[in-house]
Amino acid sequence: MSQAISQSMSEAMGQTFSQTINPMINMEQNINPLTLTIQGGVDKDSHPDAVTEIEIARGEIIGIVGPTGSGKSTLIADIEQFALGDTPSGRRILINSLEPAGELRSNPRKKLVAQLSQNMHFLADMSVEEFLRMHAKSRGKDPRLADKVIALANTLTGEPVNPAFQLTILSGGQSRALMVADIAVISDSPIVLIDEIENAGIKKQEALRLLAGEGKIVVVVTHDPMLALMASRRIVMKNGGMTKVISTNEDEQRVFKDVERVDGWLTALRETIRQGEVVA
Amino acid sequence: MKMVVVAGTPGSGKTSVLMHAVKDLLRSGRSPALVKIDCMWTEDDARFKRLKVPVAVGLAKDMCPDHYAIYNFEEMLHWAVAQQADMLLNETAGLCLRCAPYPDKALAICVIDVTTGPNSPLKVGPLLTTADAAVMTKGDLVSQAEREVFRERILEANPGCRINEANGLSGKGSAELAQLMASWPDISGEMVLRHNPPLAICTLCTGELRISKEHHRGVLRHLDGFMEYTGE
Repeated sequence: MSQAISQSMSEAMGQTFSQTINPMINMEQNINPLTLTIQGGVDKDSHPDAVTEIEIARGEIIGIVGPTGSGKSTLIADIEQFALGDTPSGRRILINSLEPAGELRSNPRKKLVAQLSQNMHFLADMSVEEFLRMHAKSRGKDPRLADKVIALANTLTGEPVNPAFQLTILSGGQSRALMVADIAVISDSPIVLIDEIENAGIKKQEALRLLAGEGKIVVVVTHDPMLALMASRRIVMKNGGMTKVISTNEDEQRVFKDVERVDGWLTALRETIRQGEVVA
Repeated sequence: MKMVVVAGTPGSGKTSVLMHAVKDLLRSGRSPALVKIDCMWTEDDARFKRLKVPVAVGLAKDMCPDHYAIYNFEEMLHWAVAQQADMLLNETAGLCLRCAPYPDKALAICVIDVTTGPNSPLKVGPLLTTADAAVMTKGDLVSQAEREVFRERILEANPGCRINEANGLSGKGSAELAQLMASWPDISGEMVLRHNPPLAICTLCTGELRISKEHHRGVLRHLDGFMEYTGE
């Protein structure tokens, strides 16, 4: 790249950030995220978000709920790309009260965010092992982690994944198990975003526990009562806007215990039926 | 006057990405003018006209669309000046990948669709390898891991390139792209191409329909890679 080009790029970046009001965090600093802050923007009709600011601390699981088309995935996308008022929602995302700059937003090696999206399938025409090795490389990790990912994925799905399989032939459950294991091992980032894990065809609680790890900030889009109640707070979305934040309370946690029991019972029944046995 | 050339395969999202970037450029007080190059037919100009910016269409018809664009860059620039624009945005037809219609002083952008799989950046050739920026589209259709592998592959093909993840539907990434366009230096003096176009003078170029080798003259390449000039 020529001198002129890199110079104009840094000018472009300077322009981006001179317009912003928050202090900046840059890639030279060693980032250890303790808080993630979402500053409100606007809904689909350009009305301001009722929730003007929400701060999420390390170790917290926070839910995002709302009907289809209410803007849940958009909010997740805002967080994923560290929006700086430059996305259609106009929201801003801060880390430790500072704006993440430059490479932190785009370079996977610096990335603070791991994301499990709604996609159920891989489109890449590569073998499982080749793909995982290349993903490790893109994140600046040891390619040998591929084996660890596959082993972990196989604890989440009933149909074992083989390293030599082509990605495109994997079932929905195998793909999701692999995506979850990949996030836990290769994209091991301090902030984890999860979009609708309940449709994954895998063991959802185990998956969430794996993804949440130790001391991470976890944001999960879910309507599953158990997963939603595992979150300490949940952001309610409507018409593209953040309308309110609900903190879970003792009553809800009592319900959670019941839900957990029912879920355990259903899981056992499902397994009985899967094994071709008769439900007693 | 600034000049931006947006290239990329058909259906990769060039027009949608450009539509969002134009909106951002207008918001920041810029005056872009747009030229859409296509082969036989296009209705993209109708989409661009809704943005209330000057739009022109060039149909290459019997000429290679990239050669056609290169041949007409000067005329496009004159037209843009007459429209009192401060920026010429040229969207190419996006076809054979072998041509890279990028003048050296223009901002060269290659739009590339993530769903085409991680081997596609290696196939694209000079269209990607000589670009200043690559715009990855349709990233919402694949997992984060796939986007990151794709990104790695782009950097293998063009290590110095700036990568922008954009979504033609939601407009994600367009503000960043518009800023890059606005910050690019003005064009000046004589411009040259970054990469030579392919040799394309043969009897097929002049309309020969018969297939067997005996009917063809020109600079021709055999399946085994042997290249020769046949003719007088």
